[in-house]
Amino acid sequence: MNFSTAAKYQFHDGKKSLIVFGIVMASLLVIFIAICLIVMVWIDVPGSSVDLGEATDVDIWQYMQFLEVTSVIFLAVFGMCSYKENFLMMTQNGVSRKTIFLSRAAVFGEAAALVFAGCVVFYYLTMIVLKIISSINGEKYLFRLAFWQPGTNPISSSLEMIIVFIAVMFVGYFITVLFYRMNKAGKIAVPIALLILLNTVPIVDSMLNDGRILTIAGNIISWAASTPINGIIFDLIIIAVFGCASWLIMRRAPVKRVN
Amino acid sequence: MKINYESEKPIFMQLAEEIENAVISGAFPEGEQIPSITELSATLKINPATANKGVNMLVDAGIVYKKRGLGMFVQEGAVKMLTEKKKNEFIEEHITALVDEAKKLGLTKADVLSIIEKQFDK
Amino acid sequence: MLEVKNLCKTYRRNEALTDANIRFEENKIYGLLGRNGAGKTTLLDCITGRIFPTSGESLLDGEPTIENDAALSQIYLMAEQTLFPESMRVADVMKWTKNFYPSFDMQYAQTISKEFGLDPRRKVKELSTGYSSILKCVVSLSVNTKYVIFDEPVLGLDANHRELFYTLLLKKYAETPFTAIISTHLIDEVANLIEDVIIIDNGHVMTQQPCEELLASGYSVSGKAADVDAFIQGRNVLSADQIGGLKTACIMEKPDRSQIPPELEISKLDLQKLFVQMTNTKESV
Repeated sequence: MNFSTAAKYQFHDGKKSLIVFGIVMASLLVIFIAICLIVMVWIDVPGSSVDLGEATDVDIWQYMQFLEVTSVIFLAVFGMCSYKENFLMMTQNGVSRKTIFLSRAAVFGEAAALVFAGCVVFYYLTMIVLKIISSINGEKYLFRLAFWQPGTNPISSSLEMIIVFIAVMFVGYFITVLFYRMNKAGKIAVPIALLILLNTVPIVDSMLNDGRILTIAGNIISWAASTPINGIIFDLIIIAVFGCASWLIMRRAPVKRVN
Repeated sequence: MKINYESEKPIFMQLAEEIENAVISGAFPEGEQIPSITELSATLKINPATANKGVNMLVDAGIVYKKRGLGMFVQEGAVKMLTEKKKNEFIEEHITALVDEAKKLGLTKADVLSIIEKQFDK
Repeated sequence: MLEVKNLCKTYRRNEALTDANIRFEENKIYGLLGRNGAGKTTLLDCITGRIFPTSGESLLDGEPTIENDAALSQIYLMAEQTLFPESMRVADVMKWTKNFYPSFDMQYAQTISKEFGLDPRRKVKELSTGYSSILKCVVSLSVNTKYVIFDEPVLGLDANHRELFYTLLLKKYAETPFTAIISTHLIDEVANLIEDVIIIDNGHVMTQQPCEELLASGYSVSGKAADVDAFIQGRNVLSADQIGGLKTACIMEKPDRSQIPPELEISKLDLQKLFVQMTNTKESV
């Protein structure tokens, strides 16, 4: 079955970067723990009169947001990687573009699940370390994942996290497919056009339009961020939009001749 | 075995002739196996279908036979058959032509016979 | 049967392929001949869906081949361009080919790799042009799909390796018949290997017929220029070459032995010469 082999191949291709990411995050965990130890054990000596003020009930999650942020950035890049190479290799092996796309989507699902699992492991390990430190220190430390906010259902939050990961990969994929299809002129024109748009639209909008577009955009984002379900819906729409766009661009992509 | 790829004579015919020559000379003894189509086509760099055609000619002529699953073998008595055939061809091609040419040149039967005798004695 | 019907491919102002109608039957060796830029690779790319034809269809046993995984699993195209990832090792290329094509014979591939001197640990980007071709030859000889298309298989191969390739190809074909389509401009080399020949010129399919038939449609005479000239009077002459007093002419008629004077030598049409003549005429227009 061609689809599973295509998925296997594309996953195998991305495995290396996932492993590197895992190692980097693990090392960051170790560094973080070391920093915590330094900050909390040696600087905040138990029983000392050093008053860290608001920092006593340290809400570490804000320092930890980097975990999700880096995951998102990594996955965006992951989505962008190796499109051309994979496309060519699988074309050589008789895989249709349809199967390439669908198996790629499956790989996105796998990668999202893996990164999510990694984040969860990271979280629990950090919690354990913090518990150990707090039992030494007597302080109480909180650590939260950006998605696992208090009062939210952990299942829907987890789902939201995974879907955000997938959405981000599709955005990356769309960009890379677009660039594969574009000729030189397009590759210059599109980034410039995008830059111009992103810089002028907000200004023009706030000056001439009472900032209506910005307000709508802001409302959409805060709606999406308000509850996990909203977030899931929002990101599923992103997946649909960028996924379809990627497919439409790549379904007729020719294998470009180098001679 | 040599094939002249430029020659007007079709390759499959040349192949058949080469095999015949090998049978007569004893290079392919009677009752023994001859190279397979695979070997023939690969060695001579010709399409197996062409090689097949040549060999089939020999099968039809009774020079060679195919043993299922084993290969192709030279028929017993093939040498005799071929020698007969070659003799007849020799007579056809050379003797008839020689006599006709001799007549054209005005040589008599006696002339021709003595010339041939001299050649044999050489 | 692999069939191409009214296949056209037009790039902006250039008609790379016009109304191609070709049938590839099972278990035959085809020669796809054409000059550089004639449209051979375009045709092959269209059949396998690497590019999309402008119009017409490509069918395998009645089903379209383009974007059809099932059909594509029976056709292996070894293109001039190497599509394998540059950093992949030869051994992995073969491993993955086996994953995608279960009929791939790994043992055979390893055996013939040794014969060619192909190092399985090398990365694709480290291979010379010749060894790149060799890798592709090894893979396509081992893949065992019903249809294997070789697009310029011996590019950059030295004489020994070329001969090895042809030998292996013929052996494989003789033992386990399949359909081999060899697209090349090295006509002399493949002339005796191929059963059917397809000639493409300027995007048009000029002929598709058994090679034997094509070559039997005429003959070549050579001898003293005067003798040849006398003979070719009023005949359908395809070409004539002269070196000093020796002239050779190609005549497109069935040879009649009795008609040929003894001072002239008659020989078979040469596929390459015939091809050159057939495809030169367009240019001089």
